[in-house]
Amino acid sequence: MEHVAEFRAILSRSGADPRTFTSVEIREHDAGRTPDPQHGRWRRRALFVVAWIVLTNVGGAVMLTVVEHTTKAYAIPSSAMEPTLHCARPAPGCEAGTMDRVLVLRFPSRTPKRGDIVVFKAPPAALSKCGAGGTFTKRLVGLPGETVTERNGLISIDGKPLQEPYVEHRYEGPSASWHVPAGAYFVLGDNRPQSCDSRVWGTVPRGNIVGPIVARYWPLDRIGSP
Amino acid sequence: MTEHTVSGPWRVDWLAVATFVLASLWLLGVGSLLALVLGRRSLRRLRTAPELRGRAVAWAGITVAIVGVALAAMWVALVLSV
Repeated sequence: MEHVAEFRAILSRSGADPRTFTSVEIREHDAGRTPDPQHGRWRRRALFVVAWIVLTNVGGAVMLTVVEHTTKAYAIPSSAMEPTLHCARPAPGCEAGTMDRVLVLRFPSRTPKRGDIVVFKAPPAALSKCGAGGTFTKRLVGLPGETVTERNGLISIDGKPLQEPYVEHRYEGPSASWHVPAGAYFVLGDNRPQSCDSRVWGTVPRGNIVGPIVARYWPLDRIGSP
Repeated sequence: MTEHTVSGPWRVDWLAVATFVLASLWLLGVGSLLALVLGRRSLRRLRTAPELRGRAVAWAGITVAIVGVALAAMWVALVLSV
């Protein structure tokens, strides 16, 4: 150990990094020569770079997993929310060549409000009545306890008309009325004639809502708030 | 002539490890900011204490933390836009 301490002191005086040294450096010392402070430098640098790359990837993966729990990205595959959110041709009713991609805020969780475009897990009835299930995107129109009425394509809430500048295509079918139970929400697609929504399969429980859409991030010329 | 394969006693700098862990956890950007502060202190300490190791760990933490701060800024913008 005395030998090592002596060698360490020589390395330190010569300007080399005394934390690491190689057997070659020790051999130099044993032969009575001053060790080359540059020896092993490239090896140490290579080790540093490899460790840095590996650790950055591991840390980045962990961080992105955490980030993914606060915001989540979705694509818009159907025309139910046209023209607010575009799907891509040649799918029927789509107005764009590229489907919109959106970001949903999952945290902080807050009470949904009327007008929010929300992403939610569709109730089982959606699959049987619309032929599609899974995750849907619709606009939140009716809050718990309210009565939603559709007459001549116009929506009213508890008898008061709802201004909907985002709707271009209205549904001209028979009038209907729905009561929204506690803890649930009434959602509609902006493209009323093409949308299979709460009018068909009922309301969405609060627990099914993933979160509101906060931004459209793709395509680049449509970046912004939907 | 004897050939040795020895290195002096060393230990990993806990500041470097803390930098890496905090940066990875993100914690809505708070972890990233703390990681930047600790990472700077860790690098300073690693330069002066030969028995400490973890320069790559500290630099990896700082790199991840910089990305985390950028993501946190975007997240704050999204929260304010709702």
